[in-house]
Amino acid sequence: MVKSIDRLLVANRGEIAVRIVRAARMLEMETVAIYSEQDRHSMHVRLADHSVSLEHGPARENYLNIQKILDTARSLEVDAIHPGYGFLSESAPFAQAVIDDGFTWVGPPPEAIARLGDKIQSRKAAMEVGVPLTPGTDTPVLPGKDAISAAQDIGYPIMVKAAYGGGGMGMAVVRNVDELNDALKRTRKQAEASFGRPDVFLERYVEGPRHIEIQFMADSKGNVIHMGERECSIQRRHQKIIEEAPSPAITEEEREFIGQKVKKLAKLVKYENAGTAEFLYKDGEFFFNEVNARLQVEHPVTEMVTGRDIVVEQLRIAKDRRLSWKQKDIEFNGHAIELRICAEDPIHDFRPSPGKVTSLVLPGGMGVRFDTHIYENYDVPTDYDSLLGKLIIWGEDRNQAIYRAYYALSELAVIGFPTNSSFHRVVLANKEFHEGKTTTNFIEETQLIPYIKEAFNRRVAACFAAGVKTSKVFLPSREDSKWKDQARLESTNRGI
Amino acid sequence: MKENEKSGVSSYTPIKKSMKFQKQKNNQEIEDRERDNYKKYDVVLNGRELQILYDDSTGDVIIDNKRYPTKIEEDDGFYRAIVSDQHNYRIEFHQGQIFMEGRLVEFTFKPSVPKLQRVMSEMENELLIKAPLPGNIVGISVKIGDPVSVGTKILTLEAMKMQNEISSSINGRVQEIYIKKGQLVGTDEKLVLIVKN
Repeated sequence: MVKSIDRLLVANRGEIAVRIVRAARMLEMETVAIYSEQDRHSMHVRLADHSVSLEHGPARENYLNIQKILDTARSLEVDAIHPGYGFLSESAPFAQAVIDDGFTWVGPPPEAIARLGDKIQSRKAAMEVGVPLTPGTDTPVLPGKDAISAAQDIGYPIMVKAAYGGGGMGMAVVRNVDELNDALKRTRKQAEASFGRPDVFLERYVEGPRHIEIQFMADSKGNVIHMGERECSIQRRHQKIIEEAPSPAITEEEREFIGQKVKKLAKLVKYENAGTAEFLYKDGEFFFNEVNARLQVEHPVTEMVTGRDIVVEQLRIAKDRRLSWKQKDIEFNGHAIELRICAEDPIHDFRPSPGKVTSLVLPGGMGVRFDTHIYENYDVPTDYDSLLGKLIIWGEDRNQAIYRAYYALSELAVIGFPTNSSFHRVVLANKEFHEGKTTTNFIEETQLIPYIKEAFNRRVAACFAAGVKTSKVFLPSREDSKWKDQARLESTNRGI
Repeated sequence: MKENEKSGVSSYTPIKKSMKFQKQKNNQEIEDRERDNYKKYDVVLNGRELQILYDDSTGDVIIDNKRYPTKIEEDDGFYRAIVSDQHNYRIEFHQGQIFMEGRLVEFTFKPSVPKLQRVMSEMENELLIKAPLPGNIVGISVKIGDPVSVGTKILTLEAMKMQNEISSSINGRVQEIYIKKGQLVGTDEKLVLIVKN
């Protein structure tokens, strides 16, 4: 039987909350937004049919507060909850609580989330269905002879990893046997201190890999499809910043091979709804990393090349409908690139640079999409991540997508504070990027940052020279707020 | 320019130009004794504040100790700024707005007044590190009395879900630490004082 969803609570903020409201409207669902007071003027609050303040405070008091969210869901009599990405999206206890309270959960079953969220469990599941893994030990190792021989079998370089770790902590790269025992002792100490358990295991360290991930979708009837890969190699601080589909490195056979494996994994854990399996990829080999049991930030690039609305489909699947598409319906057309536009300054080590959006000019044209929650006069809150929006570009082929993205970016003006758009522009004009030579070390290897600084300096020099020599730029502070009128007057007088 | 090209049409489109110049470095460093000819300005371009030097007689702009010679040509309603002889920027002023290469930019400048905090700190041989944005102090890497040099990590500020390392921009010694680990700080709150040796 198909469940009905007439009212959907969106348990998120920012651009993804806006995205979900848009999808819900397509299925004529009413939407309920929740927000922290810091987000009172965010676009999702305004777009939703109903909005409920969860008061001022850190995320644990609102977007991460299971009790408050469920109370809101009950008092507004919603039928379903969509968690978006981040926050509670991969919380099995939250998913369970939503279901126990009689709401429909727009996401995978809590059992699947729990199983895939555990590193060792998900590795085991992957192994069971033949998903390629990084060679490694599946049990903890101690310093000594056994570790040395295990390392010999795996091959150097090796990563020593805390079994119960996370967030890039408790890891060490070992390049030869002499370093092994020391690294093991050190990492065990760190693991004990940080995670309470000293267990570490060994894994092959893949150097300079690409980040490749497979989008998949499953319904409650056991149907599973994959929607091809995305490449998200270009990262800063191990966080994705540019994503594209398809990957310039993956052949059709490889896509089919890994897509089939991912489908098997999804079936094994009885997955439902949208998910992404992440891999490292190098020289024709895939190495399983993890499954993100939720919608991802970069889902639009897959939407653009497949012409399918993933979020609308998530809602349909949650209603217990059969998947709208069979595997053979998923065809790939052209190329898509997503640029995450962030309030971050690339010439100052990508540090956050929030502020008020004083002006906003968006690009347009064929194949140009901008998913955002910002608008003119929006104040970027400092309590959340720095994502301002996603510029998503489609082209008939990769080259056209790159050119279109470059020129779209040269029209985009987010004024009021520094953004990372200069970084994107430089990447899009980079020879290695054009040739598809992208790895997760792209920023370090290409040394683009000094060039961004240099290009910025030239622009400053150009603006300054034009301003000083034409007397057309005035200071806001010099003559109160008259400077704009003054400039307007001057330009009119000179007939410009 | 090739013969078959229209006059005024650049042989490089913007994306190709950007590709061409990508690995080029500006090696025009200036000598200290030249500095007398220059006036200091504080400028803001798209939210980035910086200090530049400008020589009125030559049109040279100095940023980060590098020289950017500039020329301005007026061309049918807009201006063409030529930087370092090979980079052209089309600039238009319209009703108080500034467009660069057709895109809206925010740009202001004013003569540098030595009263500014930053300049004063320089003159008094100290560096007062303030919080660039609100956040949580998740780590302090120095103790009072520690010697530091340019680039030494001073503290880590967690803001907008990022760990931001703040380092020293001078050589000196840690004089004061105004905050504790785990403390929440607001924009411009005093964090650490460093004094030059």
